[in-house]
Amino acid sequence: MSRYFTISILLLFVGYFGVSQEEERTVANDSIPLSVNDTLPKNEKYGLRLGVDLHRPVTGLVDSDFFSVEIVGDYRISRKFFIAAEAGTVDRTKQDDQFNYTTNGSYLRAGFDYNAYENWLGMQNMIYAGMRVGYSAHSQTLNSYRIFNPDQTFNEGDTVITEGPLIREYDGLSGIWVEAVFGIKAELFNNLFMGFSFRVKNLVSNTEAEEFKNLYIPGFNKVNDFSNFGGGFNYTISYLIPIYKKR
Amino acid sequence: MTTRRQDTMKKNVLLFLLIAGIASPMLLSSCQRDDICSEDPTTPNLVVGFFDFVNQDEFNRVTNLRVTEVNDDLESTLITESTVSVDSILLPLRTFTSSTRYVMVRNAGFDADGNEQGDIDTLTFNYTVEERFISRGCGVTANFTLNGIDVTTDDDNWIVTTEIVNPVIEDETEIHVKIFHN
Repeated sequence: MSRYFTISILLLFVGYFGVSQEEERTVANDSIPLSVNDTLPKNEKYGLRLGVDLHRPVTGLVDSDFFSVEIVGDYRISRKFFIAAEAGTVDRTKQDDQFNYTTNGSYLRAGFDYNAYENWLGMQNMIYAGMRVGYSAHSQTLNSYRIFNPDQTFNEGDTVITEGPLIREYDGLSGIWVEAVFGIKAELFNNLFMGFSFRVKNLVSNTEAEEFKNLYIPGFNKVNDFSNFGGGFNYTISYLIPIYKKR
Repeated sequence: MTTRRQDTMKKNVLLFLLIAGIASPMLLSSCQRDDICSEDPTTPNLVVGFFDFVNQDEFNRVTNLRVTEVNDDLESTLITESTVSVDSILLPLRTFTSSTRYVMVRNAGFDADGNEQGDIDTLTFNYTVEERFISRGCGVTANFTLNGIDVTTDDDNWIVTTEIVNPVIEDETEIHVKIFHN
């Protein structure tokens, strides 16, 4: 396996050699000029690539309190640039140390990817970096909680409250964030791609309930107490629907 | 047309991605950082100060103070007993009821039969509880709003009177209740 990784990294450096040809023009002595057309075939496929994230459904198999589906797509606009988007929905219940809550909602992330990888002729793999802007619309329900009291004279710390003014659904919540994306997509079979990406996210705006802060935002993932940064990962299988070809 | 090497390469990449896709949710979920409750204050105790009835701005230390909480089933929980004289104490309040009752004994001691001696008074604090969600690390904490204090009158009260100075109990930085005695 390491042999192939080495080759992949070498391909990055070698890729710039030997793909393009220059247009040649010869002017003959007679009055009819000869021009030679570029014989390089149109090999770059442009089209719409659609797929699904597999990481979320697999997590859902492992964790029965988590259900999420994400569809991904991108559309090539130049040799190196793609506009890209992901959309998904989340139904997640989490038992934290002091309370139990459910997040329900959907999200959309849109932006672009830049393919830094120089493909050999006929190949269309990607090693890319990109950015997204994300938006979520969701609700958060507090299901149960214990009261935090450093003084446990009355042993109330284990009592779980399941009814009361705090136990309800808080809806109309949303979040807006930006992401930096780094990922790989490899073409495995004809137009079928598999890939994964890592994301660094920063929460820009947060519409939350006064009584119950946003702890988890669909598409952004866990919101920390101490910072606006978050992270994410997806792992996709997608299919390129070719529309046209260019050089 | 792909070479045999490219096919093997594709299969290896596919296998790697499959394993990564299955392993990563398990790995990433176990990397969760446990949030610690670092907020201060959380659920506060009641701060009671002991003052002189005649000179009401002056602290009047209580010697050998012994405080027990008595619940509705008449079970006692010892809160504090001190051999040094104190001018203020912290009292926990029950969060699932709207009152907590204390027996405060000045010059506390026990006689030869083990009966409690000293100046014994009973105080009941009445309040409303407000629960608030603070953060992921802390969850929900309780604050209290004092509505009143009942001092059970008997032949011999050492507590002359009480005053609610700060009815909103959300931290322990200031005295909430003053107890005046001679």
